[in-house]
Amino acid sequence: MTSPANLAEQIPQRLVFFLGKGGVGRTTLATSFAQSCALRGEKTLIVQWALQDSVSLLFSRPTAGHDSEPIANNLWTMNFSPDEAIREYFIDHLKLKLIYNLVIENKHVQRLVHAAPGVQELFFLGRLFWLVCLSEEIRGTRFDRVVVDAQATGHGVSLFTIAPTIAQFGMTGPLASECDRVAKMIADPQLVGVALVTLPEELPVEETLEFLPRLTRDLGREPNAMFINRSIAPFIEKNPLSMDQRHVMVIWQSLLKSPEAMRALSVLHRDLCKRQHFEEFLRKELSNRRHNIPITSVPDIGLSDPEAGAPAVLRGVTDWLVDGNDSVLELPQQPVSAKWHSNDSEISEDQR
Amino acid sequence: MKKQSAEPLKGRKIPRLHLFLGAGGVGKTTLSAGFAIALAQQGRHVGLMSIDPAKRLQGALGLDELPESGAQIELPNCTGSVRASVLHIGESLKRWVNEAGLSKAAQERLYENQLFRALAERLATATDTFAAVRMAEWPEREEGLTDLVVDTAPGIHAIDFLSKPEKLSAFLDGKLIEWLKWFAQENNTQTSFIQRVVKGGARRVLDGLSELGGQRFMLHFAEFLILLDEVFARMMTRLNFAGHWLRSSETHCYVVTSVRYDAVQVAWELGRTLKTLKMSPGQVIINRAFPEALRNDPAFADALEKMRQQEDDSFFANYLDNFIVVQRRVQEQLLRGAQSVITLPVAEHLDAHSALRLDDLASLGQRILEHSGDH
Repeated sequence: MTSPANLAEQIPQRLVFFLGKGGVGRTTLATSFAQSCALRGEKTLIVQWALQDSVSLLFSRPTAGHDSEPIANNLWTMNFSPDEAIREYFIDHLKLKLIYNLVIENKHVQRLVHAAPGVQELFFLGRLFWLVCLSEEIRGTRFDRVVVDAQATGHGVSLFTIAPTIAQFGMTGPLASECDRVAKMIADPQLVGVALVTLPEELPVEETLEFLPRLTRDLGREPNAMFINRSIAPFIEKNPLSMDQRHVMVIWQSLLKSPEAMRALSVLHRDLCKRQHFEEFLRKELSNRRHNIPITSVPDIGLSDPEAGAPAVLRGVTDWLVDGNDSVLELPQQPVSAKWHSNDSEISEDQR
Repeated sequence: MKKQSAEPLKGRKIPRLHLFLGAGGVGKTTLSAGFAIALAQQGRHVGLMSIDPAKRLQGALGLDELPESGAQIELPNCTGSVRASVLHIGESLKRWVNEAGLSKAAQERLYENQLFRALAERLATATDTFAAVRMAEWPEREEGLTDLVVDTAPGIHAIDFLSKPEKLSAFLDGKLIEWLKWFAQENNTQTSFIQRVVKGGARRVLDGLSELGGQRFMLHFAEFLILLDEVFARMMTRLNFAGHWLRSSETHCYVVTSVRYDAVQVAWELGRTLKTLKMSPGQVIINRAFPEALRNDPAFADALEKMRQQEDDSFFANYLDNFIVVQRRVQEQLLRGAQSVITLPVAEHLDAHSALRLDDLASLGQRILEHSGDH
C-alpha cells in the first residue's frame, strides 16, 4: 500500500507541475522526480520560481539564475526571473526592441508590471511554453522533461486560470496571442501533468481536500499523482506495535521514574500517531469522494538519520521513488542523541 | 486621483501591531489566536486577522465560518474582547467599492468590468498585495481597538505582504494611471484638446501599450482605474499608514518555527529580511518542542537506549531520539543569531484530533506574553 508505483507511468507528460504549499517538501519531491527522469536517460530541466534557487545547493552547485545550468548527468535547473523573461519576450521573441525600451522600461509601466497581479505569472507560463514548444526549433535544444517547482504561486491554481482570465479582458495584439497559446498548452492533457504534494497533518490534509475539486475544475482533469511526504506509514508497516499506545506506555511505565515524564511521553506518542491518523484519513476521504489519484507515501527520511541534511534527504527520497529501496527505512541501533552529547563541538563546527 | 489629507485615525492612539511570521505548518495561526485571547484576558480590545484558519481552530473560536468583515468571539469572564476575521480580498474589495460611495450605475459598470471581476474573484495573488490595506483599515472600523494580531502568509513570502505596500502604492500613485485616464477620456469625447496637452512621452507609451494589448483592452483598463479612483485613493491612505505602522517601534514580530530544519531556515531568512526592512527583529518561538519533563527524568537516557534495541518498539524510541537531536541543532542555530527564543513544548490538547479548547489556546498565548515582554 505504501510502496511507490511506477512514476513514469503515472506522469508521462513532458511538462510537469509540482503543487503544494510552502513547507510540505514540494522542492524535494519535484527535484527527486526530475532526478528519477534524468536517471532513466531523459534530458530534464527543473524550473524554479523562487526568491533563491535552492535546487543547485542540493547538488553542491553554485546558484543558478534565469538561464539553465547543468547540475547532474541529464539534469539542469534554472530560477525564473520575470524581468528577464519579459525582456526576452519583447526583444528576442517579438523583435520589438524599440517598444521594449520605450514602453516596458518606462518606470511607470515597470511599476504596473511589478504591482499588477497576474502579469508575472503570464510571462512565467510564456517561458514554459517557449521551453516545451519552441526552444527546439529556435535553439536546437530540447528537454524531454520540464519539471516546475513554483514557490511564488503557492498552490499554483491561479497559474492555470491566469491565461483564460486575461483572455477575457478583450485584448488584441501579441499579448492576446500569448495568452491564447499558453491557455492551449495548459489545457493539453498529453503535454501537461500535475503532481500534488501534501503532509499527513491537519491543515495540509484539509487544504488538499478543499483544493482538489478546484484544481480539477480549473485544469479540466484530475492531477496525475499525489505524494504524502514525511509519512511514517512505510516505517510502521513492519512494526505496527510501536504505534499501539497501550503497548508502548506499559513498557515505558516500567522504565521511567516521574509521572510528569510519563505524561509528556504519552503526549508525544499521540502526536506521532496523528501523522498516521491524517494519512489514513486523507486516503479514505479521497476514495469516498471518488477521486482516482495514485497516492505515494514518501517516508520521513529524517527519521532514520536526524543529521541528514537536504542532499541526503533528497537521495533517500529518490532511492525510495525509483525502486522502493527499503534501506532508507533502516533505523540506527544506538541512540544518536547520546553520541551527540559528547561530540557537541565537532557538530557545531560542521554546521557553519 | 483625489488626495485624502485626513489621517485615517484622526489623532487617536495607534493600536499595537503584533505579526506572526514563519514557515508553513509551524502553528502561526494557532499561536496568533491564542495570543489574541491572552491579550483580551488582560482587558485589551484585540483584532485577529487570519489567513487560512483550520476548521478546528474556527471551531475553538466558536465560529463555523470566519467572516471577512469580522466576528466577535465569545470569551466568558473576560474584560477585553477579540474580533476575528479571515483575509478574503475579493470580498474586501467589494465592500470597499460600496463604502466609496459609487453611484449605482457606476457600481454596476464596475462589476461588469472583466478586470475588476478577475481582481475580485480569480487572481489569488492579489491576496498578498492587498493584505496590508486590510490590516491598515482595521483600526478605522473599530474605534476602541488596542491591538491587532496578524497571522501572515506562510514562508518567506510574508515578505511580499510586508514589502508590497510600497510597490502597490508606487503604482497607484504613478503617472500611468493619469495617462490612462486621459486616454479613456480622449476616446469618449473624441476631442483632440487633451491630446495636445499630454506630453509626447506619455503619448508614445500609451501608443506602445495599445499596440501590445489592443485599444479595447486599454479602454477596459482605463475604465477600471477611473471607476476605482475613490477606492484607490483610500487604499493609498491606508497603505501609507500600513508602512508607518509596520515600522513603528511598538510593532512586535514573532518568528515562529518548529523543530524542523527547513522551518528554521525560513525563520533565519525572515529575521534577516526584517532587519533589511528596518523593522524590529522580533522574537523567535520554537513551537511544539520536546517536553522538558521527559528529558529531565533521570531514567530517560537508559530507557531510550533499551527501547532502541527492541525490534518491535524501536520506531517510537528512534522518533524521540531524533526529536532531541534535531531540537538541539535548531536551538543552537537560533541562539547563534543572538535572538531571544521562546520554547513552547508539544501540548496535550492543541494538536490532538479531538476538539480544541479556548482555554488551551489562551494558556498558550499567555506563555508567549509572559516571555516576550510585549505588553
